[in-house]
Amino acid sequence: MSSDIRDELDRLYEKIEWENPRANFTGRVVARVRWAKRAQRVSTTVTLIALALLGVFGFALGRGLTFSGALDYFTLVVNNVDLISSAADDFIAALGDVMPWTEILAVTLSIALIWTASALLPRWLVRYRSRHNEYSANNYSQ
Amino acid sequence: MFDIRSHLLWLVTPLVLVVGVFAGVTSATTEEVAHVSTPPPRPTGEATAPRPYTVAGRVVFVDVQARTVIVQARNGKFVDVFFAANTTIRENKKNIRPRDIGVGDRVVVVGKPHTRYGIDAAVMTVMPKSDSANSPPK
Repeated sequence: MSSDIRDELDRLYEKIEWENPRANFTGRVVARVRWAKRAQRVSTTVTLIALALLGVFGFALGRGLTFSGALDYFTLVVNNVDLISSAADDFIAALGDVMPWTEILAVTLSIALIWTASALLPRWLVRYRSRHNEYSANNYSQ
Repeated sequence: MFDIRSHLLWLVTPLVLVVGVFAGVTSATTEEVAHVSTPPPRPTGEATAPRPYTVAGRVVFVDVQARTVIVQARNGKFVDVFFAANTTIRENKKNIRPRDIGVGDRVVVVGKPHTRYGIDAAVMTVMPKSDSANSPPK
């Protein structure tokens, strides 16, 4: 086979332009990995704090359910299901009356914080980093 | 570093909640059992004037003629409970009469707020003093 014969593939290779990697490519990769680790650390810390808050608010919810009589109310409802139809509006109003809404709200917020810290926060931080990098790169090029 | 975002987190979260609530209930129940209150000779709900839809606690005063019982709720407040002829009063899933209610019985009441204070009972369940003394209140 002669090396002088040029085929279509050789002509295509002639058109290919070699692009050098962007400046400080390795540094950018390392910085991104470091940022990802930092984001993970922040996420873990906030999640653990939220879990601790959930424990505290769960404790408060348990006390609230006991002192407000909610547990007794549920026992009454379970043991007297046949009476609910005769005084349904009273039972519904009593449910609203007996529930410790503040503690329930606190527990709900804690669960929302756990979800935010574990699922959303890392994504937000990575996205923030990407935008920040683009902004810096644009400023640098100008 | 432990990856807290793993699915394990969604097992730990309900566990923390359940343990927290259970500890709270246990703490409140223990506190209530340890706290021995001395009811006044004739407590009245007018002082605090709560008008709830439900109340749970111990009976501290009974007046069958006036169709009134006074209940000390778990939070320490006294609530006047008014019952009528159509009020369902139950003990162990059986209907009982108002005169069967005694001081010290544990009751749970559901009804409408009374016009001035207390509660007009629609349903009342009673756990007699002897039963409630044997088992700690839940």
